[in-house]
Amino acid sequence: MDTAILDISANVIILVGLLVFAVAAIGLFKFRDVYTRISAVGTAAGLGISLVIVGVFLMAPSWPNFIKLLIIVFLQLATSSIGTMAIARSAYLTGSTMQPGYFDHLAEDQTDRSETAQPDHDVALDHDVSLADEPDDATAAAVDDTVRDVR
Amino acid sequence: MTAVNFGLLLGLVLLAACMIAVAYRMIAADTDADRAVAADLLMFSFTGILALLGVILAGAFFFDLILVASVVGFLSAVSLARALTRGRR
Repeated sequence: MDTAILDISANVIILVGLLVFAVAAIGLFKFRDVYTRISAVGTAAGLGISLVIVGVFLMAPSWPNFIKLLIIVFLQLATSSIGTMAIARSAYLTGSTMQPGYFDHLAEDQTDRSETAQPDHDVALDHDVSLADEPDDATAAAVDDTVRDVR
Repeated sequence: MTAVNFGLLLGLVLLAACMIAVAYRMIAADTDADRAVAADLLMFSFTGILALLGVILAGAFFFDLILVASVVGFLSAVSLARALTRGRR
C-alpha cells in the first residue's frame, strides 16, 4: 500500500519532468532566436533533470541513493545555469543576432566603455576592430595594440 | 516492475521521441550556435534516459552513473561554448 503510493507519485513526478523536456524540445523548433532557445534548454536542464531524478529516487529509495540524489540535484541546479550562460555568451561573441531585432544594449555599453577606458585583453570583439579603423586619438592606437596582441 | 509503472515506459517513449527531434534539429540547424544549443539539450536528455533505463533495468550502480553523467553534461556545455568561439574566451 505504501509502496503503491510511492510508485504512483514517482511516476507522476517523472512525467512532469518529461513534460518540461518535451516543452523544451518544442521550443527548440518554435523559437526564432538562439537566446530564447537556450533559455528553454536551461529550464529543461535544471528543472527537468531534477524532477526526473527525484522520481527515479522514489522508485528505488535508500540512504546512499538519497545522498547521491542531494549531490546530483545540487550540482545540476548549480551547473546548468553556468553552462547555459556560457553557451549564450559565446553565441553573442560569434555574432548571433536577436531575431525580432531589438536594440543591442550590450554592444552600446561596450562601445561606451572602450571609448573611456582601456579594453580588456580578453574581450576583443568585432566592434573593437571597427573602432580601431577610425584613427581618432591615442585610444584608437591603444585598441589597435590590443587587437594585435590577441591575434 | 509492477503494472502501476505507467510513467516509466511512457516517459521512455516520450524522451526517445524528444531525442530524435533534437538530433534532427542539430543536423538541420542554420548556424553553429543553434547546433550547440541542440547538442546541449541532447546531452541532458541522454542523462534523463540514463536515469529511466537504470530504474527499469534495476542496475546496482545507476545512481553513480547519473552523477557522472550530470557532471560530464556540465563539462560538455562549457566545452561546446569554448568550441563555438574557436577557443577564444
